[in-house]
Amino acid sequence: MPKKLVCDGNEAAAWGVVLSRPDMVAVYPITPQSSLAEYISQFVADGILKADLMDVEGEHSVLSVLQGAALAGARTFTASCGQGLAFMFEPYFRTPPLRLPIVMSLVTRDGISPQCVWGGQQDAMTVRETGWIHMYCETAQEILDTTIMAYKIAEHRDVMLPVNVNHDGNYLSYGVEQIELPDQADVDEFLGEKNVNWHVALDPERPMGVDPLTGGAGGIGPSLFVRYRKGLCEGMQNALAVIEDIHRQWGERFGRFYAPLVESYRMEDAEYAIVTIGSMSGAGKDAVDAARNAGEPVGLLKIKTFRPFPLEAIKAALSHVKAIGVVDRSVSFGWNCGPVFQELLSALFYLRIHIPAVSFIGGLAGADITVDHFERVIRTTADIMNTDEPLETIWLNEAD
Amino acid sequence: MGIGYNTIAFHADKCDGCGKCVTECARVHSQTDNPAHSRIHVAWDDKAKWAGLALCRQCGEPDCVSACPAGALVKDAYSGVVFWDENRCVDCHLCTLACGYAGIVCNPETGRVVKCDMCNQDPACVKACPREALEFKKGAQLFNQWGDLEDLVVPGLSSCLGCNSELVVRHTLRRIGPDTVVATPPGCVAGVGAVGVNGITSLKTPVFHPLLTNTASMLAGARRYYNRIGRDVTMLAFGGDGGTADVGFQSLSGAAERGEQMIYLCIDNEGYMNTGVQRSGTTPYGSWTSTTPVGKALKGKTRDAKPMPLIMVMHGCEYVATASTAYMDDYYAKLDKAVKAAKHGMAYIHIFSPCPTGWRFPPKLLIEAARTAVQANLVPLWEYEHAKGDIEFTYSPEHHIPVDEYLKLIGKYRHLDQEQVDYIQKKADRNIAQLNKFTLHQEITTGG
Amino acid sequence: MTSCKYLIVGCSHAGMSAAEAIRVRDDKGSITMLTREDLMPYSPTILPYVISGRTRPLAVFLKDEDEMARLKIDFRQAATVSGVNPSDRTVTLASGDRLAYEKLLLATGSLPATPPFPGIESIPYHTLRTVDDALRLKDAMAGTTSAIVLGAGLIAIHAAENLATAGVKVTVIVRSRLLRGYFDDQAGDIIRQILAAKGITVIGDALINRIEDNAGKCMVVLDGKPPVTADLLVAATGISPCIGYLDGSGIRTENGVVVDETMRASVKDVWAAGDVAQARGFFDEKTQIDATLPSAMEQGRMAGMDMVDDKYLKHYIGGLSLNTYNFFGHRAFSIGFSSATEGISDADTDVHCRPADNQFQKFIFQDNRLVGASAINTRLDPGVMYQLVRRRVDLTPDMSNFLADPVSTGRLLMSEIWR
Repeated sequence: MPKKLVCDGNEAAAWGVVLSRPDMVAVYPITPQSSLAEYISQFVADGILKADLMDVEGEHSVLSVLQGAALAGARTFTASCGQGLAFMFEPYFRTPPLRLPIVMSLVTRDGISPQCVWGGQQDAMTVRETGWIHMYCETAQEILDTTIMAYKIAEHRDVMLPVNVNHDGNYLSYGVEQIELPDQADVDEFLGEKNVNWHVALDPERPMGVDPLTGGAGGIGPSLFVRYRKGLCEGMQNALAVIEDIHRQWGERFGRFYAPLVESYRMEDAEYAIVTIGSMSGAGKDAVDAARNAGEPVGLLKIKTFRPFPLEAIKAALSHVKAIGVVDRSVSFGWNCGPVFQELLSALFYLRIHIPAVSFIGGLAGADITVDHFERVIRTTADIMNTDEPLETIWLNEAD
Repeated sequence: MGIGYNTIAFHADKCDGCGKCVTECARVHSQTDNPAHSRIHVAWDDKAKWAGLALCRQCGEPDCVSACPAGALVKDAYSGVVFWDENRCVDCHLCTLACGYAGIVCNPETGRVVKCDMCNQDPACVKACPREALEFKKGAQLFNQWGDLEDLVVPGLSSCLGCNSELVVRHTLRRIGPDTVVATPPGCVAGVGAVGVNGITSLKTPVFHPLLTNTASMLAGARRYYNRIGRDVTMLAFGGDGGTADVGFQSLSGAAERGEQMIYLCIDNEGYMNTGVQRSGTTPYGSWTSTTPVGKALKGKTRDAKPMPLIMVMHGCEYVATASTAYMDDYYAKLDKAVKAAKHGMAYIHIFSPCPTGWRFPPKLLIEAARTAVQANLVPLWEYEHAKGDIEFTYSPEHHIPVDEYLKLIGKYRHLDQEQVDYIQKKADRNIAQLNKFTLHQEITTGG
Repeated sequence: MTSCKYLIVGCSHAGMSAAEAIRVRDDKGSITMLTREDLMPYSPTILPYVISGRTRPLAVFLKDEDEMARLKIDFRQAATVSGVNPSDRTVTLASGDRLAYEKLLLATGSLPATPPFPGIESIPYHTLRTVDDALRLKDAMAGTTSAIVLGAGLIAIHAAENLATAGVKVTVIVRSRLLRGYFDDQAGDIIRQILAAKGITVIGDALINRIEDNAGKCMVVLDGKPPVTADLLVAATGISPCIGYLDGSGIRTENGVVVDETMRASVKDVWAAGDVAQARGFFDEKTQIDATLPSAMEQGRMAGMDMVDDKYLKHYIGGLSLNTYNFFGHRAFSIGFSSATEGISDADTDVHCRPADNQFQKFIFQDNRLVGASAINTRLDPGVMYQLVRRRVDLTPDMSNFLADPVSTGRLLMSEIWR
């Protein structure tokens, strides 16, 4: 029988790691990820997690030791965020092109400066162009379940890419819920055989030169490079179907069905929609329920998988609405709007859906995005349905 | 592969023609000091102050042996020595015609030929030389021991002429063997194609490019996993000095602190030679580099090199050593210890690697540069074993040459003024004094 | 019919050097070596020492069976080649057997030339080219009180020395004078003086009319000089290459087998080296027989290297006269020219001669390069002088040093070259 326990999102992630049976975990503590690192360490100390724990001297090395281990054949895990992720960036950027299926919890945090240790998605959004798969969770249970699914996605032969399982710092990391712990044998059967380094290895039994130089212009170097780049894009594209399939398998086996790419909430007859990502979606759904009760034809689209970008799923969800309001928890500097909003504009244009859209930025530096905030979001979005003018970004916490 | 032999090397530049070797040879072989009985002769040019040596070279295909009609000369397959059998010799002296080096000559006192027999592998002349102009080279033993092992590097790396790094890589891998994962971070070793280019690799072992910054971490992760699955795979890094002492230092320091099992080799060519000769943390004082140029206001680097090997000693590594390619037997002995130490923790070897291209000296002087830097106490050779706890010199710094003897070979020091040379001399003396503080058994004094 | 990859006919210095050079590159290819004698390989140079008893007959051999086995040589004794058939790459043996080869080296050496003197056939005389010859002469010496030696070369002098040492009264009869090609007149006088001091009479400028039996003794009748009579006659008047078996083979011969600069004969896959080969000279390209041990060794090695396509093979730089001598403990050597010759004036020579001490030293230069060195009882290193000649070392910067102290200067130069 599955066990139930009450825990926060960081512990839920740690349980997901335990059940995925990695060979090696490497951690370096950083707020608000620290308790996750502590849970992992304690589980290793208690013998619950039978992995090698590498308590290395910084995030740069965290991902580096995992790359070395993965190249030798290890299933690996780590967690980080914010400045840690920034410090990790050099090996981070290199993980996808090496096609190493490393899984990392990103306990999302805002970026400095101003100096800040609170939640926000600035870290995850900043690295969205690096080739990692990014999935955002909404609940502690989803964190646990997605962590396990992440291995099956990452190690899928058609994917072979690292996965970030993102959950919001503060709100999900420390928020306590009751969760259900799947049975280990079930998880083992679900995950199947580890599949880490069939394609690239550091192993004297099959010696190879890993990542030789590609020559410059005038030779085959650039075309070789393009081949690798397109291969990575193909893996990303393949991941869309794989993510959907693995979520379906998960639901069938464990009875918990999650929207794999995007979740449409009360969208069937909606005339306009608000778009959310991560833990804010709960408050968003409450606000939509209230608005619906008041007769507003509003729906909510939650994005779970942001990389690869779920274009077809978004098309299906938004093709009939007349306006959208997108709530971001980070900033796209230069565009001066939210990055999710900005990407949705691209998607809508690409899909030839010409509707008004407005960007909301909220929840920076650990601020709560409340139902009240969402009421404003819904109201504003309803108001722009008949506008032709480009709209200014609205900063939800500006006056708090 | 054949067999190598010990040889007596002659350093003409150190010989002052004193003739002690000649007298000692005569004494040992005939109990007189009559030079006629000596097997070694020095031809001294008093005007040029230069010496030539007449001594049997124990040739590989000795003409004297082929020319002997009596079968009185035989090259010993084990020692390589050409032995003369006085009972078979008929005194025809054709051997003296066959030898172009006066290595076998007629002793006018006896009318019979004499030649060097290497004193049963302990040559008296070498011991008699007060100036180390004669050197008994035992490098051949290395060849005999390791020469048959596979060169794990393919022919034709694209290294510069006279590249010391290539020498280091080939020798090191030959010794350490194929059950090894090799990391070559960005730098000369990777740059010459060790990992390969366009999908074609150059090493027969697994090899990869780490980042410049994470060599020790990547190796640590791989080794931990191999430990987990019960396989003993050696982790070997060929780091450059920049990737070791500068930007890669954090990961190395962390790995050393954690006692990660690997051999970390820093090939120190004192700067970023691969990318246009920029300075690094190990570039020594006074060096010209492209970022410490020589002009009216500045005369090369103004700071000393970071003492990486000592820093690694302070980390409590299992084994730390310095090395120079001019002393290969010393290096191989240290590799032996490093291989053992890396089964328990980190073995760090810092190998001095003169760069003809970046340091501006002719490739033919490579080994000369590698040697004189050691002899000038600029690159002291020592080792540290954690179990023993002290530093031991493997090349005595006692009889050292002035630093100028080394500096004058190297183009990057061409601009030095006397004040700078004096500074470097003081620095060399200070380094030895500092190292002496870490030695338990040795009390070495050096002159100013 | 048996076959082999490398067939070497002859087993003295040229043949053995070739075999060893082949083995450097080709450890497996079959080598067959033939000798007409039934002995292990030996050097004819050793034979005078057999007569003197200095070398025991059993100790003359250069290689024993173990060493031949180590070189993986199929060594066949008493195998005389009677013909070579390059068209099907076989040789025919005197026994009638045939042997196929892929590559053939002719290193059959030379045999004493029949002395061109009337009457020689009527009396028993000794020559010295094989161990049997040496043993016969050694036996004959017992009970002999006087001997005549015909010839002016090294063998003649060795024979004379051995006989004199054994207490035999020796007369050496020479057409002009001893070792004329190797030493000039001044040096020749010293050599004659050394021999005379040991009781050897040298009759120079002698024209032999005939040789006849005189009451069981041998009498040599000279033109214009009293006849000489003795118990024993040794003829050492020259050698001729063994090439008779090549008649009809198509291999080009003159005095010997004509070879090019890598010892190849005129026919494909055939080489020749040693006394039998006629190769280019050092000072000019005209081919010559160069019957010295160092040349045999060098030519044999070159032929062997060429037979295995050794990339380190260089072209033969040519033979020049050279040898070392030991007359009753007096050491001498000569290299290259011994007298001023065409293109060299007396001004290019440097002579130090002290007949009272039996000392002599002579250098001949051409364009400040050493082209000749001959010496008696000096400390000069023959090998160093030979290399200075061979390498055509320009002595211009060192000439005064060289003339003042040739031993040290030569050693300094060679020490530099070696490093």
